[in-house]
Amino acid sequence: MLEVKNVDAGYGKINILNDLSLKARENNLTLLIGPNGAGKSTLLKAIFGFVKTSKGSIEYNGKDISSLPSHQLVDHGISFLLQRVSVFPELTINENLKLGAWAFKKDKQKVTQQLEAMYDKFDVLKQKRNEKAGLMSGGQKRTLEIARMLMSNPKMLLIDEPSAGLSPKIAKEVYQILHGLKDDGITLLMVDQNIRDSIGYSDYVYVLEQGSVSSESKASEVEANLKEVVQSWLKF
Amino acid sequence: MEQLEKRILAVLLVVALFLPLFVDDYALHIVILACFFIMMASSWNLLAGYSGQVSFAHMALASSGAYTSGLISVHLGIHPVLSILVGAVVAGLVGLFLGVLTLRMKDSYLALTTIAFAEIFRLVISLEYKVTNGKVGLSVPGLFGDITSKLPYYYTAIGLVVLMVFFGIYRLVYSNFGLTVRSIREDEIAASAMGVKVVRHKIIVFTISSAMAGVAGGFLAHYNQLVSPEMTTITQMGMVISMAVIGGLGTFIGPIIGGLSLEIIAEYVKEFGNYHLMIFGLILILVLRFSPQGIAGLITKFHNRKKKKVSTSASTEKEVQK
Repeated sequence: MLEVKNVDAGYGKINILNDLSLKARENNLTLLIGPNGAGKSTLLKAIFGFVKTSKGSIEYNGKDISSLPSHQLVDHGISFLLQRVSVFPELTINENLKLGAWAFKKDKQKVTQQLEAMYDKFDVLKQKRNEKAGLMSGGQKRTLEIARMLMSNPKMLLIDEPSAGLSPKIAKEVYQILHGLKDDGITLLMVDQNIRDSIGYSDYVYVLEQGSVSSESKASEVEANLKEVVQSWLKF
Repeated sequence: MEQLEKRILAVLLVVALFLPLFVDDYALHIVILACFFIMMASSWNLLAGYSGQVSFAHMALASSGAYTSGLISVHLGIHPVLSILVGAVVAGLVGLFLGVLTLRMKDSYLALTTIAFAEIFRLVISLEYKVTNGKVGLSVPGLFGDITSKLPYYYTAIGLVVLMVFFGIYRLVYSNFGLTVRSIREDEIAASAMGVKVVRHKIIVFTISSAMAGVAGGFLAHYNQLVSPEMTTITQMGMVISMAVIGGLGTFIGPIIGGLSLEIIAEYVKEFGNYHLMIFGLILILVLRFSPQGIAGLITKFHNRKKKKVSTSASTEKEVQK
């Protein structure tokens, strides 16, 4: 579904990704792990057009999307969940969700349908729909961000550290929500440091080191050798 | 818009309708000037309060509208109503040009660039004598001729213009476009991740608010029958910012309250010369310290507290009756 081929990317003259290649298979949750500075978040930003690539290509359903701006990627069905809290705090939950449907904002009927679907899926948002998003707890904000992403009916989600700053209990709930999205036909490419908790929800794992893929395998294989994988990171 | 804001607007509208019956010409003149500042503060609020872009070029853009309107009405003999519209279009185009150049910049860079633009504009019109008549200023025809005998006409005209500007801002802010712009103010990167074309939206808002400033500037020029570089000074820009911030940035009624109250205060303290700016500065500090959302925020806070008290006492009464 999404294929990154020999990509170089970075900030200014500093290259972060070096000849990186990987695939996010359809209807799978592909996990990207690796030590700090390995280029995990940069890769997601490069896919979403926030960081320019200087070499290689990024193909989505066979089409090169490496030079497309983010608003066109949303039109293609790709959404991005940022690592940090990214709700619009002064806007209500309802307004936050409406912004998720920005790509088809003029189709009021579709927007209303999507809103109702999100409220059915996430009851906590329905109860607080007219409250300001800034007043929500950390876990609720993450839920709102996920729901807002889903408003655009994406087929591919790029997720950066979904459990960052959350308690283990809330983080588990977030993973369950994300894992459940596969049932809706959504493909996920997720970066996470919290490998112990996230590996159980993943299908395939890429380990990144210094901007390149150092190893790849099925999540079940990594899970079996989790101790070795984590210890190999500590060498960095 | 909140119910409270709507009620305050309705009261202000009624007061404005009957005001000429109860006040003298001088008071009416002050209200006309206040209306100019209300338009300036409201259009600046659209830019800074709703989209988060702090520009110091707003008075320069109003001035560009004023000079354009003045020059074409003097040289081409066009009626001021039409020339004000042309001035607004020119101010919008200057805003568009400035927006394209600057709106990829962040915070302080944008502020500094717009200050530089405003100063360059002021220096050019101050030093240019052949076309703009330099520091002396350009005499332009009045909208209705003589001010003293036609003051109610000017009052009605600016009232209508203010209403049109408010209507434009209201439609913009409470639309999908307004929601998108507010999301940009909150978090540009998150808005981009939603697929929002951030720079394009910023430029559109900058252009619209510049055109609104152009209308206000053009009207003032044909009211005063003079347009001078004085309009473009940083002090005047400071007045507009103070009005928006003291009134309540990012609220609909804030700039109206701020513009009206500061213009009235300015009348009372004008005998202190430029020292009156110290008084404005002091008010600004006090407001930011005790009510960062300005007077509008303070009013909302008291209103909500009162509402809460009423509902609490009503429920207590019910409990007692049970």
